[in-house]
Amino acid sequence: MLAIDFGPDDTVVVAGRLDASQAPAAQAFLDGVDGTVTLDCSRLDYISSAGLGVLLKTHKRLLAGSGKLRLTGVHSHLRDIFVYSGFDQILEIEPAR
Amino acid sequence: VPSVKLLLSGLVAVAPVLAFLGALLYLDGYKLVPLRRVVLVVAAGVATAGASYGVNAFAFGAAGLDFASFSRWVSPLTEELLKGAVIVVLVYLNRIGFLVDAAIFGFAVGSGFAVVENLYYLEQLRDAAWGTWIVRGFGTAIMHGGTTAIFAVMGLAVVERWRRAGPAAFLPGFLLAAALHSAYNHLSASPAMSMLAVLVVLPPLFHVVFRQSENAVSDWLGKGFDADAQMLQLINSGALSDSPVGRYLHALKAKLEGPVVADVLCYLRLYTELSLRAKGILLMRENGFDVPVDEETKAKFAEMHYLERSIGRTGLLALKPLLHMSRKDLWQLYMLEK
Repeated sequence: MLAIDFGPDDTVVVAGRLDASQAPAAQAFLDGVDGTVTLDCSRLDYISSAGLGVLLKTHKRLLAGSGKLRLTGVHSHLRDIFVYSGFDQILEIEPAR
Repeated sequence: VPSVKLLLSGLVAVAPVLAFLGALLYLDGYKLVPLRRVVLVVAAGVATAGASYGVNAFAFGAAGLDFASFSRWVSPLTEELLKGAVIVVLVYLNRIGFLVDAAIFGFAVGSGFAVVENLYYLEQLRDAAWGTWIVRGFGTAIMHGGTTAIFAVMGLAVVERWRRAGPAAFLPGFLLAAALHSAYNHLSASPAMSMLAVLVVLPPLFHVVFRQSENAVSDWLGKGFDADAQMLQLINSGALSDSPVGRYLHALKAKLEGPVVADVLCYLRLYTELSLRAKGILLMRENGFDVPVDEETKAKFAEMHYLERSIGRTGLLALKPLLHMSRKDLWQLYMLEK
């Protein structure tokens, strides 16, 4: 399951699994955000290509409005996927402490 | 000095097929085909036109047919064979992964061929009426691109189905391409009709091919990305030796020398990393981000080629069950490396 909602300091907190079945719900939520958005991924366990597609679409839309998508609290197992696939070249990624 | 009419006739004769090719490149959502390679394939099409001139001159003398019969029954075979040869080489070298790039490369070969053919006729028939160049530009030239695209798409589809690229796999596509080419030449008495047939049939055909191919790319990309990500997590988790993959690698230890086994593990990791990077780039392109390949990735290719030499053919064969090594998987690595 996936939970996505606003957290403190206007961050968006995402928790659980961002896979193909949950991607439409995540996309619908992220379609409603604007500006520079910080996505707190510290409780995100899993992300598939469908989830990455949601992040890319959102980042592209935000860039068009001079904003961007920032990922924070990204665990090492997810960070590996971002780095090896090259997504770290376009998305700002802050690892989990 | 060429007259304005001659220049405009040349433009009408060659611009439509190049514009059609440009439109196909624009419609390629994943940007599977780089422009530089398309230009090279167009150049190969130009070369096939030169070869075709020689072959047809010889065959015309040997066949003893009048020009109309020759153009209906013989030249479609020789021309489609020569244009198709470029596609066969590209498929054998894993330079074509999907129906979209098959269609684009096929059309590119036909475009190169058609440009030379139309320029040749322009030189021979300087005083021909505008109608001639309109038919040759919008009809004959696009027919040449279309038939080779059909040859490429059918050839790749059969190769994918049979899982091997033998000459027989290209036969159905060749026969269809030659039959369509022959049918077009049979309509030479009513050129407007043949031109109209080309313009009505080809765009919807390409639309279907592109839509099916985009679905196939999306499906392969999604499943492949997730499988690569899982393999990488398994390797990084430290629990590889307890997994079926680890047990398989343990079994290889008995058959391979110690250092080679170490290289096998390195290769597995590197291949998976590069495979994930290639799919990541395609996903980013799909969403409008064109990210250049960095130096680190290029260095990884150098290391992978070193490991391939170290492991040897037998070791690579032993690794095959662990790696995704379909035509598409090998194609994506080529795409990334170049």
